[in-house]
Amino acid sequence: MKLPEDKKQRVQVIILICMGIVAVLYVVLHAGIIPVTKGLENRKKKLSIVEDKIEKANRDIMQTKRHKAQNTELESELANASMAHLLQHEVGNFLLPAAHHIQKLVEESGIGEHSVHGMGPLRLRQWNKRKNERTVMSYSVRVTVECAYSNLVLFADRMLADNPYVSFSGLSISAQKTQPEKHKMVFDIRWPIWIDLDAYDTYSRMAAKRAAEESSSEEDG
Amino acid sequence: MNLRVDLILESEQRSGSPVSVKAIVRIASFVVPAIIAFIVILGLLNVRAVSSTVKNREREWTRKKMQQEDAIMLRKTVARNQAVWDEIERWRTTRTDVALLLAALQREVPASVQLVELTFSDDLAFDEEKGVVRRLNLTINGLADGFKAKDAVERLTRRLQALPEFTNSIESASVPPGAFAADRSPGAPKSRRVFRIECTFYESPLE
Repeated sequence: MKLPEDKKQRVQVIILICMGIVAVLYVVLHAGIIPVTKGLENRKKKLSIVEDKIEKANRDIMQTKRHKAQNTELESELANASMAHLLQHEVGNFLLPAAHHIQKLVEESGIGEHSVHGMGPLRLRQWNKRKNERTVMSYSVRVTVECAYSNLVLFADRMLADNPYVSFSGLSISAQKTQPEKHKMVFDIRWPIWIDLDAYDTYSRMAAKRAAEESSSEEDG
Repeated sequence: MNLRVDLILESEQRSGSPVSVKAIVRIASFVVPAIIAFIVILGLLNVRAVSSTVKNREREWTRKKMQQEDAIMLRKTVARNQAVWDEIERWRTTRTDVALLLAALQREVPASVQLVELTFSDDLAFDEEKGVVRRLNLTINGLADGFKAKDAVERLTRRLQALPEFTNSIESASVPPGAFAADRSPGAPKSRRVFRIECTFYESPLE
């Protein structure tokens, strides 16, 4: 094809060709290159998101072994504490086990007559609305005795050595003029107890399960 | 006068350059579309490859998601158990060894001083900032005989404040104003004094 002879017409044809080229390039760019590039970008973005998720999942999964060991240890400690140190109950009654425990220590410490009165539970959760996930509350008993100071020291020593969570919430010692060797003593002993009584059974079952697992692994070994 | 006669028609004129514009245009008309097509095809292949990788990774993610959910649940269980354990442990770490305190008192009381009454309290109280705290107080009422009675009571107060077993627990020990006075009970000797020592302990948060 030849360009027209006439200079004016030739310029017009060249402009038309240029416009045609620009139009073709525009179409190619918008119908081909840009969609392809956008599609690629979107997929890369999606890939990056999925890979981030996989990486995070791998990090979480990698910690499973450590968390399992940590949880086993925690559950074992909680089960031990629940069974050995938190005050047990007998059908929801805490006074009987507490009185029984005190009776035993009173005898061991050489304290004679004594009386035990339940003071009931004190639910700390009610005091603090910020922390409503409290699991433990306190149960106290009041013990009245007449004995020598050294007997009380022995009793307190045994009581506290027996249970690392128990404490004396109150103590009053008064000298007696009629019996200088014996003092009148009133003391309150406080134990932690589970707020949810079912926790006793839960941790007891947990300890039994753990013991069974340990014995079976020993047999296998 | 110079005269230039151009006998070649304009359509017959040829450029002196070894590369003619026509040739460039002809070559460009093939090469440029080919390059564009190549770019588009390359892009499409790339898209296909990335799509396939995305699908594979998504399948892997679906597998890992279950394991991750289990791992997260386990982590939450650990956190919950740890919180319960910490709560119980606070009971142990914040308690005062009363046996040790009573033994220390027995050891530190001078011979000229006689204790008449001892009151110890370990109350659980709620503080707006600290939450539940243990507030401990110890009050000792006693008698001191002799002309050095005041010295003996002051010595006992200083000793209580510096009890080696309770250096981090006892905040202060003092005889409040008016709490050291002559014993006015019937039959009491003139040299006898009654006193009261009050000990306050540092608060220990139970949470």
